[in-house]
Amino acid sequence: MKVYIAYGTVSAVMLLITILFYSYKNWMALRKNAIYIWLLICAFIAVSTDVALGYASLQNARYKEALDTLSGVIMSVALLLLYLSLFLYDMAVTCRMRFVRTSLFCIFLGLIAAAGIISVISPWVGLSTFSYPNQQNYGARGNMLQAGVIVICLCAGIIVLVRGRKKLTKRVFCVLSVSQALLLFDVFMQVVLKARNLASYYTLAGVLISYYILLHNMDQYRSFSSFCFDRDGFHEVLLERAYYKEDFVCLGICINNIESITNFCTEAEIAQLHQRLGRILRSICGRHNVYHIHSFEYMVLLRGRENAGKKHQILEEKIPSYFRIDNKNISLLCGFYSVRFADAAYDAAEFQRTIISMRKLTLEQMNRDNLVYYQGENREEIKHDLEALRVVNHCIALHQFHFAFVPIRSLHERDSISYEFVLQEYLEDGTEISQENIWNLAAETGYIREAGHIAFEMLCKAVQKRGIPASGGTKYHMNLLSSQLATTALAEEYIQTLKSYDIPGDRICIELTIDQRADGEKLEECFAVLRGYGISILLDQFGVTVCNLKNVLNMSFDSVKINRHMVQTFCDGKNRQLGYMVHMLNARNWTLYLDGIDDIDMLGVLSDMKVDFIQGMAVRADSAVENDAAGVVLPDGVLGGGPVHV
Amino acid sequence: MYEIHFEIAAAGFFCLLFLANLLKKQLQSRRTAAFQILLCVMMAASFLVAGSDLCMFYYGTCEGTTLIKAASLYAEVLCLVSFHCYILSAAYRLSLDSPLLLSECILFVFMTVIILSSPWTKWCFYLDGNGMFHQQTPFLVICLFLMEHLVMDIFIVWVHYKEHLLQRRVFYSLLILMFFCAVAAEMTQKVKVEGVTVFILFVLFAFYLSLQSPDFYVDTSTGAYNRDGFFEVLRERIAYCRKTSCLLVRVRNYHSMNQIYGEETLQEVQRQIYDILKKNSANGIVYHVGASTFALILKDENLLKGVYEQLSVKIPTEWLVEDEVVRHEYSFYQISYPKDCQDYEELVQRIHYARSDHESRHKAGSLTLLHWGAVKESEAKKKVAHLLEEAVMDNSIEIQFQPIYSIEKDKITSLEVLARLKDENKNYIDPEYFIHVAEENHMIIPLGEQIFRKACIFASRNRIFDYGIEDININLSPGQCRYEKLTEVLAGIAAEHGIPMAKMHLEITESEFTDADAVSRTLQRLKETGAKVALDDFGTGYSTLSNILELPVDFVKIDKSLVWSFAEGKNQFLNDLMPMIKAEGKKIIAEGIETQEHIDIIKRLQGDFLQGYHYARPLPEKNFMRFLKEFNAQC
Repeated sequence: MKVYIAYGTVSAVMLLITILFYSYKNWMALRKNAIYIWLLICAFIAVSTDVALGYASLQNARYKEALDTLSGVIMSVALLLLYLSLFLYDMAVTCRMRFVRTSLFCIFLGLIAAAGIISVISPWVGLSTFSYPNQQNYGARGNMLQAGVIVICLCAGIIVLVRGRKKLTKRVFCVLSVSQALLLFDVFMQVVLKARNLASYYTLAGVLISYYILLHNMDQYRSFSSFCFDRDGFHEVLLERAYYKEDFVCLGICINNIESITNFCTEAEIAQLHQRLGRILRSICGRHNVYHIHSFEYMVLLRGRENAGKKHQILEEKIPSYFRIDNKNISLLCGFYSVRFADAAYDAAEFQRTIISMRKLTLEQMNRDNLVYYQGENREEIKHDLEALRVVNHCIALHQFHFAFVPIRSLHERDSISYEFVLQEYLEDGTEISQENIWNLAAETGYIREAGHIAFEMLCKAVQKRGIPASGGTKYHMNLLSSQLATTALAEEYIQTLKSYDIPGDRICIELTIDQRADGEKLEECFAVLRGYGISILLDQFGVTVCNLKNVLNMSFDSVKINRHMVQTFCDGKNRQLGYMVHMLNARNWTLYLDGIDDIDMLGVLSDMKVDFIQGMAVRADSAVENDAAGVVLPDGVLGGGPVHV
Repeated sequence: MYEIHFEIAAAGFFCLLFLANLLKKQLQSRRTAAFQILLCVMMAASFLVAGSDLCMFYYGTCEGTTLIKAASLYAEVLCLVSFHCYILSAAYRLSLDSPLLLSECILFVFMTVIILSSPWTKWCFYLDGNGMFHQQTPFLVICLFLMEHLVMDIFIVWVHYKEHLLQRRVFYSLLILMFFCAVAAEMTQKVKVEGVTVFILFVLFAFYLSLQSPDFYVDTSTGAYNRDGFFEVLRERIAYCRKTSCLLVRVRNYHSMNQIYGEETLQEVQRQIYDILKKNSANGIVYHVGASTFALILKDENLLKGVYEQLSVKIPTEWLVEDEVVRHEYSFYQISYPKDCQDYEELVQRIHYARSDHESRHKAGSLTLLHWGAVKESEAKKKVAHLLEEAVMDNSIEIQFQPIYSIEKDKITSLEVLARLKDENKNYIDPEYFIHVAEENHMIIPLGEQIFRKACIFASRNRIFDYGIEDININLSPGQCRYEKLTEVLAGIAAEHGIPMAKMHLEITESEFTDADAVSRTLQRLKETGAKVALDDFGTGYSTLSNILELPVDFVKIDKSLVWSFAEGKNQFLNDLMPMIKAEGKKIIAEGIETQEHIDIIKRLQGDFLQGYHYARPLPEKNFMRFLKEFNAQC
């Protein structure tokens, strides 16, 4: 009994197990993965054929020659394909697959095809290129050709690896180069030393299995709960597609109620939920295409937008609205969106940014029937949002905003002009990002308080440069959100800033926009601290902000500003609320400001009302003439925009 | 001789598996360690078995051969023992201070002495002059002892591994069967043990590839252990009742930064954060448990506090990556076992709490202690969410009806449908609270549909329109308005029960988080079906004055607290608010009418409808119908 059969058998079985598990684990749609499975299959065919037919020929002396010939032919072709795959694999891992479209590769392929054809036809056409004395396969000239091709493949592979080593980690480079050197040595042993290496198949199987364990095991890309590929796997695929500029469509599936699921399900139940959902998605969309990129988001890679629509229809029907797990009904609210890679200009980073925005848009909806496409209004909205977010983030990073002073006129003392400090930023197309939006975006980046301080400091700098009139009631109004005044420590910081610029508190008025999250008690504490330094507090945006009217009207504001929308609709005769509002607010003894006086004629409509200050385009036109010398040069050459440029 | 090569081939692959596994990042758990030991022992045993056979083949019986044979037998026993330990560790039963394990250790020492001394004492076996292997009674006893352990392992696998995957249990059973065959082969001396080793290799390799790979627990982006690894280690530590303190570090603004800078830039930042955490972890292990969250497992709280103090200073808030400045804010959380939680599930729930996107839960820079008090509110919500889920699924939400009196017609002309939910003690839960939970949990759509359907069934069954009722008032959550098919669904339900939509009166409560466009769109559509719309909780809810003008509402409902405080002289808003609403042509429903004084106030201020305990509390179906018939009969 030939001892090599023992090694061959063990190698063949190990390769078979690897193939089975590699396929079972649903390899990711990467070029190197697709080639690797071919490597395994070719190696298995070569090894198992040689072992099986070798064993058969030992048992059956009558057909020995025929069996040996058949074994030789199959093995030769399988080995040629194996080493070609190995070369392709090296190109795939170093991102050089474009080489397969070159004429040089065609010549190379032709050479391999020629060697393969000669190997196959030799026994039948009587070419004495093969001989199998004692399994010394590489003895004949034909086999020398085959060995030559294999050596070229291996050498070309090593060259590709060396040239593309920057694209590989040190570990990957070492494993690939050492293993190929080992295979080269194996061929050398057989061709030059004419000694069949006992461990030849064993080496091959060992190398390929090492590849699997060290480089190719995709467990690190698999979600433990859903058994789909994870975020990192998706990222890998995305990078490769971006590199080769391949278009595809992403069908995103967001679970809208994951927060509630995690709140009331155990870890095991959540895992089961993902397991079932993952199974449904894989069965409908294909094993290789489903990625579990976040605990509440799955992604399916598809070809063509129509395909995404079709899959959405099927998924909408097949994904149940609830799962019954451990005697518990777990409801599942899904949202769907679709983005095309080409829409992000094959840029992986841009694509991922788009995905995040689409996810946000989808999560805001509660409608599984609707597939949200990245086109039309959605696309414009996302583009604007992203750009605005970048602009605001950039401003916070630079500690600088564009701003303007908007004049406010007293109706009692005509010469008294106050100014509202307003942040103004613009998108590339000239669209203004409103103050409200700037605060919202700053809140989104997590820097709402910092943004408030930056703006406040800029106000102080600007006020200092303008010079503070010794007399007169000129005040500077600063807009803040209730979250920017959440603690007394924050209020004290504002006071410290004022002190550092020697600005008396009575020249500052904080215009506070109250929102639903505002904590009345804490705000009152802050008001007390600010008032201690003479700062007055104004309730801003009255009439349009979402608030608890009863609570807000019981707070200790000094003044209130009615929003321009309420004023303008009143002047246009579209509402009659303003009169009642003014009456109600006057009853609180609050100083009253009206915003939105864009036309001096509007004052006539409002003449019966007990109003103290007005603000708007009419005031700007009026005061700009009187205050044309009021402009100041801002630090670092930042230009203020808006009504009164400073 | 032929079988020896199988043994050598298997040993080679065991060696490859062991070395490759050694190169990988291994999770620090007992199960992983036990598996690594098993691989090592299997490799050694295969080489020793092959070595002893080769010695026998080439040198026959000699002292060296007997020694190697003893060593190979001992290695085989070691394989079974380490496999048994692996099975125990997978079931979290490898407790080092357990008396059972101690007694097994003593027995193992005895076995070691008996086997390794055999070349001289012949207690276990001896080789005759022809190289034949002869067993002694202790050998058989050892074999039986090992077989008994394998049977015990089968029992553990199928009784104590219930939470494990079936696939894992099948693999364990296959391995147990293989080892059983190996012991039987040694006992009977009829089958060569080498053949069995090859099969063990195949099963072990398949098991490794499918379920035991250390890659399961590694995060590719940072190289840290991942979320699964974190939970695996936590589960094991708690199973062995080991004191555990977890420090969670969460990047608060990860998503917005990701939107601005993209995944790759942020991954680079994450790698750097991981390095800093590793350097300052005080020998704790760092895990990357989510895109924005890292976790450290430490032995005690004091150590954790020290690490937190260091980290709060050392983790920068600004990162420079490829000329881009990425700014991050961090929140820190602490949870200790057994101090702050009793079991694994509780611990995991607290971790979920820290990882959730609720902005109010995260404070920049500070260390939040996730003890029971910190999560009390979320635990309460969890319970209500569960009850709601059950109610939605079982169609068991209870509805009651409160009459609404028309000043103009001097009778009850409408009713408000109010949902009721009971807790486990059969007490009613505050409707505002459970509706809020339903909104948060996205259960409001099925819940709303259920309430609407039940209201229609009630109206149709009791023919309420024959008793003077003109409108059925039902609350509508802003969350429902985001459901595009809401109008069609509600109209469909009403039609199903023969109720005209014109009889339906939907009351919407505004909130800041409402999608104003969606609300406006839905209300408009509802009006097109003939339904009427009211703005609920006006004055105290989260509403805006401009909504009276902007939203297509027919009615405004004044909240009871406003009515009460006005009656007590604590505010005068109603003097202006009510005329203001009337001036816009809306009708007013006043809630909280409890006294004649309240009625007089609302009448004086030109209100249209009254609702409150003065007329009736919310009543169950039968009581309401009785009340309605009696009241309207008197009018």
